[in-house]
Amino acid sequence: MTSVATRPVAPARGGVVAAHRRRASRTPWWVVVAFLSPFLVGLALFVVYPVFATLYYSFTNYQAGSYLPTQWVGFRNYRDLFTQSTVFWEAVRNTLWMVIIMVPLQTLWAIFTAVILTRIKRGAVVYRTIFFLPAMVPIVATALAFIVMLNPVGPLNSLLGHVGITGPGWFSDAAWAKPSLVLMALWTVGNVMILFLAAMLDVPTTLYEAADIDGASAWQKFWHITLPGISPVIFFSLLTGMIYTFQYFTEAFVASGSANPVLSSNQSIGYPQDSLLFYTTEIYRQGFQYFKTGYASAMAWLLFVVIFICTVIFIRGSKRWVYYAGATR
Amino acid sequence: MTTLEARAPGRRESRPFQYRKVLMSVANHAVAIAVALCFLLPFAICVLTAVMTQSQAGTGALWPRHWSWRNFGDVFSAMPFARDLWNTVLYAGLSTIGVLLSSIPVAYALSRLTWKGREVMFMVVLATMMIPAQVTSLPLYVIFSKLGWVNSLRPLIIPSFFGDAFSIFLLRQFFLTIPQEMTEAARCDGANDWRILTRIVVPMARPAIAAVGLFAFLYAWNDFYNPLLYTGNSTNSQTLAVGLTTLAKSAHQNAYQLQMAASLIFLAPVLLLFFFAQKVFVEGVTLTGVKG
Amino acid sequence: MTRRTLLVTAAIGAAALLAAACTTGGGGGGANPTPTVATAISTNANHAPTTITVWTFNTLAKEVKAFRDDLDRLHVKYPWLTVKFVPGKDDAAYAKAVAAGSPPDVFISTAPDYVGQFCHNGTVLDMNAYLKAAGIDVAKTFPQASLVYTQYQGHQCALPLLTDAYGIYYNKAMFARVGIAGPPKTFSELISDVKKLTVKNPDGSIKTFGLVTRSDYSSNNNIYSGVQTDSKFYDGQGKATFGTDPGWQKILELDKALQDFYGAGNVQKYVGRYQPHTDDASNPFVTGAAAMEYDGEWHVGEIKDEAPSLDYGVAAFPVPDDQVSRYGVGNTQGTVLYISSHTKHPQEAFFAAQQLTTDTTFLNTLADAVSNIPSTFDSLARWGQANDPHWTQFIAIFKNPGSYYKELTAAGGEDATTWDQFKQNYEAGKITDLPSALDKFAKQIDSINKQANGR
Repeated sequence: MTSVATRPVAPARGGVVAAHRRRASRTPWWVVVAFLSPFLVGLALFVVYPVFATLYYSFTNYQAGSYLPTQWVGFRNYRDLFTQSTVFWEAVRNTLWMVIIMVPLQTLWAIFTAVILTRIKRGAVVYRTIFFLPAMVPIVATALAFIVMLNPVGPLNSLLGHVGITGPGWFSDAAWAKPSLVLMALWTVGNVMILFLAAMLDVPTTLYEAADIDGASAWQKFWHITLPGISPVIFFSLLTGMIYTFQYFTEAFVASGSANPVLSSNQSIGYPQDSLLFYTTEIYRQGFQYFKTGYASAMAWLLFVVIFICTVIFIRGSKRWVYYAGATR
Repeated sequence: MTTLEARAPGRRESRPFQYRKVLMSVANHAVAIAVALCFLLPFAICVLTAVMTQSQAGTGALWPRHWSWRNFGDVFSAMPFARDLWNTVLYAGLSTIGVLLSSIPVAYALSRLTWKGREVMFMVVLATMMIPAQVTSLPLYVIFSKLGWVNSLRPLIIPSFFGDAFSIFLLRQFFLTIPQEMTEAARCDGANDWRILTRIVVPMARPAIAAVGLFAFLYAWNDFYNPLLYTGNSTNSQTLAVGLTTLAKSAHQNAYQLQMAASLIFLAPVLLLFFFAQKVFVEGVTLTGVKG
Repeated sequence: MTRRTLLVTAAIGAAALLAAACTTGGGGGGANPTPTVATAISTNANHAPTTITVWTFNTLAKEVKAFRDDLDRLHVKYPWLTVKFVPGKDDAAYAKAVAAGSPPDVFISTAPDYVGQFCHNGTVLDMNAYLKAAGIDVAKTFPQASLVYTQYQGHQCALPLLTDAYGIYYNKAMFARVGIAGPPKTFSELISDVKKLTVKNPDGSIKTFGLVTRSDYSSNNNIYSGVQTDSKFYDGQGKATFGTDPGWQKILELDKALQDFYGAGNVQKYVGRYQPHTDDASNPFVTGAAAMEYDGEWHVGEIKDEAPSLDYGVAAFPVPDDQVSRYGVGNTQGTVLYISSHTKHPQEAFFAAQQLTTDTTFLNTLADAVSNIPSTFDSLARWGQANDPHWTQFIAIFKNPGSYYKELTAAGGEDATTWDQFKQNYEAGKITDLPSALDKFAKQIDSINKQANGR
């Protein structure tokens, strides 16, 4: 992303030519530490300690709240995850499904809605507000509203029924539960859409005019001019979408078991039929319902490693297709 | 708005060309209207369900037979709404103050002070944004429960006084755009960094600070995971996000009209804030500099 | 990365790991700090005013009121005892409160799934000493069926408070209409009865279902707890029997046969539509969308409120054809009451527990209010409903010596929840080779138990 380079200093008053930054006053270390202190303390307490503590827990059979002593078990937690747990693999599969399907769809939909906004002249502000507003709604409220809307005998299926389509079971049907979440994600795409819109408007019109003179079609203009121009935003959207979806929790947690309210909280995670069982909701169940803290910590560390690796690979791979205007290639 | 078709000056359009343009415009608007209806549908259903009676809510009914406005009042007795609302305001308000107080000095150090390792520290700040919450919540929960802070708002509010990576990032971006002359002049006059920060940088950075504060407030208002962990089991400290999900699994699990009414009251402040602070929002978005 | 950075990072990491190691470790007090000798409060003692907190699982308005009234009655009879009542808490919420260090004094759970786990890790009080001091002989007070799921390795870690039995409700009018004399006793009878009772619409959808057995619907997961096929979760050595006992496969195949008959899509529509309405007036059995339904005994009370004129009978769930002599058994479990091990008021909490679980007036009033079966010999003998034809069936299931719940383990409810997931995967068609999948599943359960026990 961007980093604004420090600018050369203009000559100060009195005619003294100010030196290049490096030779100018270096701040004494204790001033720096004083200004950084909230972050440094927070870093130690809320980042460094927990990250390493989770690593430590993952090698024990620690159960928070149990009155039995904790023991070191080495790699047993990890081994059990990989070889003895079908739930683990189900959670991994579901999470990967969301990352591979939901993230690109969200990006495509954001581009599509942004394109619509660029082609509308009258009432553009109204449309923009309508497209953007859902992204402002708190996720819990969105999830509850979609649960009502997608009730198997509810309003949307009733509407579909009027036009002769039998609506599916949405959140009560394992085959449709994840697509229902994707619908929710598409509804809240406003944040990224605004970024795409701004980027599209930034593409110089001279490029389009030149293309017109060459007789390019609308699609060719989009593919060869607009897309490269907005590729940094595509990169941002895919990257943040991927990181967010690996940690996908709230929507899945609220929607899980919504179709069967009498389930206890341990049983409702992932309902229906484990289709909504994601990696983070399983960590929550293991760590904050069963309180198998060590086991859940192993899952959490695996997630951390996977996100890290995927992020690095993605960033490295992006250099090939992301085009920064003004950058030298 | 850019127009995607160029027009060579002085050329008169032929009839078919004009006709085609009108058709295109109609098509564009038709698509826009269709998409807008899709975006409005959940809102509409939410609002309509919120004023339905228990017998209609959650069924296929599309229009309320009786307009049950009392649902909005019933929400307050069906769940401890007033208390949850207060908890949410407390959490959002205090954590915004905490975020601003702690992030501004850090952003200042990362942008206006020179020291070795400055860029490395900035990378560290960015890196903390990528750490998933699950990797830190287990040990933090243990610590907070040993302190006896679980079932209160303290684990939510207190960490915000220790800096927030995203806010630091945004503020740093903005501080970097402040011309050096401003601060150099003050430094020559003998002012120390604290005075420069408070007397010069902060007043100049008001729009950025407003944007960051707004984002922090919204983040806390909408936050679910941490309130779930630390207040999910408590009777007094739940925030609205958690309270709504409790409502949805309680005796009112089929009372969709109450859930929708509660959701509307929950999201109303957010929408109001958006409308009144649109400019601040846009400022915040451009600060990320994501466009490249 | 320079060497210096590497060293710094390593040092920070080591410090953090050390800090982590020092802060873990079992909670203070060690496991099960129960005194071997305890004193009990007598009922006419003049005790200092005490307040205890009681959490219960209830969410339905009717049940919340019933429990609130029950606890109020306690205060009326013993004015020195004030009870703070919090409904809507399940086992996970209780475990959370324990981990947070602030559990309630008493917790009443809807099922005994976690008795083993809470007992094993010291969360709840072993009440043996208190029972002895109060002069209560559990074997003479509570039926054996309820002691089985409240004792773990010799510790009385919970007390039974009202019991549940599960069976089939069947619509007598519909049965008569298709000429079936009585409820099905064997699996084959069930399948043939369902085929006769199910009414299909011309477009292929189903108007009336015979009996929907999908495991995630309503209380159906209790069909598969093993008692119908004389299967037990664990053998004598504590190893899971899913791979070795053919009964598990038999009952899953019964489920699949019924599901294939209806068509999975039709079952999905039924479940999606009726799942939120199992306890209210839109219940499919009450409205006639199903000829039979599997549920617990509390449904008798609900039907009385919702459709008092419905002509229905109650029977045990069928057994395999080759086990017809066992017919009449069913899943029996119940509400259990725990006392937190580190409560500040163990004597007062036990006193409340004793009154709630053994006082006949308390038990019978509560049983009537929530339509459960009272849990002591004495209260059963004096229960007013005992002669109601619907209730006699459930009491018979409860008293049948072949009825049981599943064994308790230190893994709490995780084995049962994992079994739920296996069943759901099977019903969704994701498992093609059932015998080998059951084998693998048994190993998975063994490893879960090893984790929980593994010391």
